[in-house]
Amino acid sequence: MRFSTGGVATYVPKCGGPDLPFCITSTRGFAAFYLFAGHTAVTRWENGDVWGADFRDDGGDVDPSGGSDLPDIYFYNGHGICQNPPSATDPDFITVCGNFGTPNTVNIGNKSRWGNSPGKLKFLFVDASCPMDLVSLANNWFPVFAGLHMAVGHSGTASADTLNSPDRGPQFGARTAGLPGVLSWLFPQESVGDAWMDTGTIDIQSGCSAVALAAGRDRNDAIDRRENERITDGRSNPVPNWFAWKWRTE
Amino acid sequence: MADQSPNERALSRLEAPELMRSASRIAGLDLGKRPTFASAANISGVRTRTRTFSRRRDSLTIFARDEDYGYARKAGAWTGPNKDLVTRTRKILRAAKIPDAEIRRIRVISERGTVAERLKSGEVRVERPELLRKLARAERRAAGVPVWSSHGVVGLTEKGAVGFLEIHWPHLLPAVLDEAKVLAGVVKAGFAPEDVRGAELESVEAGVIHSPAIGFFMDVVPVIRCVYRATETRLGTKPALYFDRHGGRVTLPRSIEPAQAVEAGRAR
Repeated sequence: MRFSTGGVATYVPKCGGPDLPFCITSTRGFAAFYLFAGHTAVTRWENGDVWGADFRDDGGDVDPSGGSDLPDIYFYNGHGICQNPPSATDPDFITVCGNFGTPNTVNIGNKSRWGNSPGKLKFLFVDASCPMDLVSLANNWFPVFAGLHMAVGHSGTASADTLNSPDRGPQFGARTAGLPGVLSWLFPQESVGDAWMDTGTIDIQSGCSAVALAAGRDRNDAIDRRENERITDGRSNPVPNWFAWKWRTE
Repeated sequence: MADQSPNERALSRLEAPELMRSASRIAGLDLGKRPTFASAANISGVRTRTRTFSRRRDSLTIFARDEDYGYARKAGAWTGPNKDLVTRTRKILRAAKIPDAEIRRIRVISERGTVAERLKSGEVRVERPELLRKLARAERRAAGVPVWSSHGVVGLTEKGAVGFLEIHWPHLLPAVLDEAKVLAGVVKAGFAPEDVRGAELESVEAGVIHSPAIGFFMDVVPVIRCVYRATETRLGTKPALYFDRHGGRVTLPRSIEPAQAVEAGRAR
């Protein structure tokens, strides 16, 4: 599989703050497990080289230098925006601090579509908060599935948030990549949904949830993908008639 | 087995019987008479077509799973009483030689899920959420401080057999615990960490962190963990920094050698 990572640790002084120093540790650790498993990196940008445009469906997401819709898998670690508490009509955001490709804040539901480009993104892993609020999932996330198989993220508030973690991303990578040889079963490879339930809850505050969302052509297909789809399955792109999601709350 | 090297055969003779006994004693897994054995890097294990039991050689770290376990799978997942799940978890941890005194608490975590249909009108019809499974998660406390990276997680099948087990409970040297106690004293005396621009301090606590369950290193570090919250913006994800007794940032425990840094300077 072809994967990209985007890790943003530096937000100060240009983009307010605070900085998130472990986002680079996290994306490099995620990449290390994927490279070890034999997957191919497309881009692995950090800090100002991750642009807001990379996540917008206006041509930026297919920019050969770093668009998020070009690889099969994209892992982002950085800031999002949290409402306190969110409502069904509140948007979800990814917030970077790019050298170019502004604006830095991306309204996911309005601006992003994945899986509709030549590279056809299949799996989107967003390790930020709070970009996948359960209350607004239908408004913000159903529209972005244009061939995308699954997305994972967090639902929370300013007081039930994720902590910047050096382990969450790499452990998720370790459980989804499919490690080589007998390591593929000695260390368990899990479905995307199960791996995120187990690792998305690392270093998060009480009340915050790890969320995994899958699309399917019908009810059973959506549930099957939510429960069982692995990145190495080679499944075809779903027609997003149905959505199935699950969450685990700390 | 024919495709095993002499070295692998020797390892199998040395380790497979004990792995099978542990699988039975800790997880109640019957792996038959001749499960497949394998060893690589820092981990060894045995498996049948549907059941796997493996453990790291450099840490008290155990993985066990039944492929038929889980929501909508053949063996199903536990949604029964919490008490039964907690009791079973205590027995499993005891069988794995986890000291009772180190178990801070066992929490039951519910995993929920639902589905929605996108109608031709563009409207969305969302079904009622359902309980998919319950898992028990044991948290660790040693020498009076939390060990944040340790855990024991148990998922049972619908009938109460072990479907998922992950214990990550590395040995802690006395020197680590002694330092953790000192750090707790430093916090009590009013530890003042470095400022983080754009954030204010939310919490300060002494504890222990260590390498995560899947990885090729086992580093253990006593720390003071400081969690900050953003002050000027609604940006989510809180900085959490780890300090030593002098207020210096510690070297983080490793899991894998990180991928090399990419060269900065993406062209416009």
